[in-house]
Amino acid sequence: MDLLSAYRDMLTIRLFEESLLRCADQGLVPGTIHPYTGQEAVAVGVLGARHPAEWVVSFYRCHGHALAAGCSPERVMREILGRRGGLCGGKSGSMHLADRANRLLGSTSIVAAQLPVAAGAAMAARLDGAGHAALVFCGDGALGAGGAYETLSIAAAQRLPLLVVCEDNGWQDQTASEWVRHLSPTELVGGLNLPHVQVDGNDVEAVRDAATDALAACRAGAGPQVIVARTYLRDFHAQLGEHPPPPYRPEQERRRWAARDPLTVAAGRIPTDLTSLHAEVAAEIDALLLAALAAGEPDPATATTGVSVTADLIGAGR
Amino acid sequence: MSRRHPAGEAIREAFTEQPTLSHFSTYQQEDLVAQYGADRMVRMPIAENAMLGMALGMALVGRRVLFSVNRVAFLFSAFDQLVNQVATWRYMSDGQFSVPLVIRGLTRGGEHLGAQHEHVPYGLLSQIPGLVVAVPGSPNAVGGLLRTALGHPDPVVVLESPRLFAPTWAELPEPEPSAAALPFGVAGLARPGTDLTLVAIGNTVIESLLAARRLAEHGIQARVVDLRTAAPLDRDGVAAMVVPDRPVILVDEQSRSGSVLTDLAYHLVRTGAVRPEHVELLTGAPVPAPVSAALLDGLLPDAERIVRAVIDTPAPLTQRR
Ligand SMILES: Cc1ncc(C[n+]2csc(CCOP(=O)(O)OP(=O)(O)O)c2C)c(N)n1
Ligand SMILES: [Mg+2]
Repeated sequence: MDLLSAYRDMLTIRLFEESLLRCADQGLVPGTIHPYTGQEAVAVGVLGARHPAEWVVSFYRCHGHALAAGCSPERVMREILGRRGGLCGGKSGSMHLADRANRLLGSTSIVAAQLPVAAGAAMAARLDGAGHAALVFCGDGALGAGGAYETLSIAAAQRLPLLVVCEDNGWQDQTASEWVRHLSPTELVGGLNLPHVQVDGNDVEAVRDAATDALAACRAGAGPQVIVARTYLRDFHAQLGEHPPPPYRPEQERRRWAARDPLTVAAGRIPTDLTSLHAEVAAEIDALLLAALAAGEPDPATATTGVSVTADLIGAGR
Repeated sequence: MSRRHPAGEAIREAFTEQPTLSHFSTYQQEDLVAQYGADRMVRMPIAENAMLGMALGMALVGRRVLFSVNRVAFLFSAFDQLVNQVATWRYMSDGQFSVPLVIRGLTRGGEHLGAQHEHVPYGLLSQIPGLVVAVPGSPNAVGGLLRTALGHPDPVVVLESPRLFAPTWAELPEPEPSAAALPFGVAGLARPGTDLTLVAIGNTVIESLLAARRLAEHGIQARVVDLRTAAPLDRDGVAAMVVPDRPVILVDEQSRSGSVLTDLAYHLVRTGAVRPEHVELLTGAPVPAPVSAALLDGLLPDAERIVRAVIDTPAPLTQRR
């Protein structure tokens, strides 16, 4: 893989998220924001191995997935800021990005709800017969939900071309995952006898290699594959309103992971100086942000349209 | 903020008084775990359907569980347990069993979280026989309704607006004199008035009280009635509480079809408590919650819309006789 371009993609996500977090501190983000900072190598590594015709399903921590799936950073930024020209017209906000053109099959803020949806897309892909797979991201907390096992067991029984990428950051909001589970995600999927691999989720090359292999297996008819990417949130779970949450994880743990930041890991393998790249990407993000903030608001009349075809027909949304 | 939130007080009180009370949640407050023990303050994975089923099992054999589902949106992941199981046990067992369990969930209120996080489902839930649906309209009402819920023999869903817990909660209008236990199925007089009646529930209690303040500046004295519970619905109580022979405006943030307040309006007209031409419904638009602030304008009945409905209409409601 081209490590430099992967680095650029990760850096774009990092700076995109950091600029949105600064916006949140100023009250410019409606609702909540679940930053992807620290996990960039997972989205960039996995989606670098995707065929553009393959659907990808995400969850509320979706900004990085969306950018790595090829969604317009400008439209994503506008959506998150609730501005005119947003990817979903201001209706989805930060947690529910969807982009038909780039085959981003939605993002859900209901933990684990994306898993069966992705299995549906995988079944459709198999029926289409073009040899494509479907991809889905979830947190480690999603493996607490019954729907995760229902999906995995159906996917295995039906040999669906489904790649499940579990981003195991060790926490589910402010609850440490080990407080509420008896096995790790790797042990859980291993217990189901599903083909799976655990990778260093902060190493974009390792993730990319794992995804390439797993997708090849899916496409070849080997049934569902699971990647457990061990990673960590650099900032925090989520910010609602103008204040970041107070620290909730052990300082030592945070420092340990910060030393293994995905950007640092990748930069260590790139021989060239990255200073000018940083300046270039930062300038791009600043320009996006300025344009988004200047964009004005969505047309209020659109608030009551698009609920359903019949409601639009009879004007029932008003 | 020096005042402690009435909800927290009610909950501590119940856990202190009831050794057979447990708490299920994906998140537990450290101080409560320290005080009551991790055995009772159970940290759970994200498994609402199993959590609610377990809470039911505990309740059936003589304990009580407080299930904090966080957003009521997540209760929909447990709908089988709620609708088919929890709500039916007393009836199906012909009274052999009861289900003392309390579900707390946050609804909607100024958070811009969007369509999968912001729901105000008291109409939906009050269609399920066997459930009490409590909808506090003020901080004290949260405490009061939780106190009753935590002593109640049947399942109770308490739908709490996030506004009641925002940093500024203590500045909200407070119609309840205290956080003492409030009876279910008994509407409260939230504000006296003689010119018209506003009937409200949950968030619209706040909005109606704010509207009533502004109407008073125009010399209009609006009486405000807080339903407090959507099920049971205090139809006769409200009929007796409205200002006789004056307009009644029912304010509901849910949409009109199949709404609790539409039901109430029918009852008020049917019993002669209000003349048909004097009854008005202000309801929310039948759309999922959008995120962008610009799209929220006018979707929900707020104080502004209530005031306008009273004074700005061509034939002002208060003039109709
Ligand atoms: C069904 C459901 N229950 C509860 C929540 C509240 N919630 C939002 S995120 C979260 C933690 C999820 O953790 P994990 O799956 O590990 O993903 P992460 O946020 O760590 O990326 C919880 C409990 C929810 N969104 N959906
Ligand atoms: Mg996690």
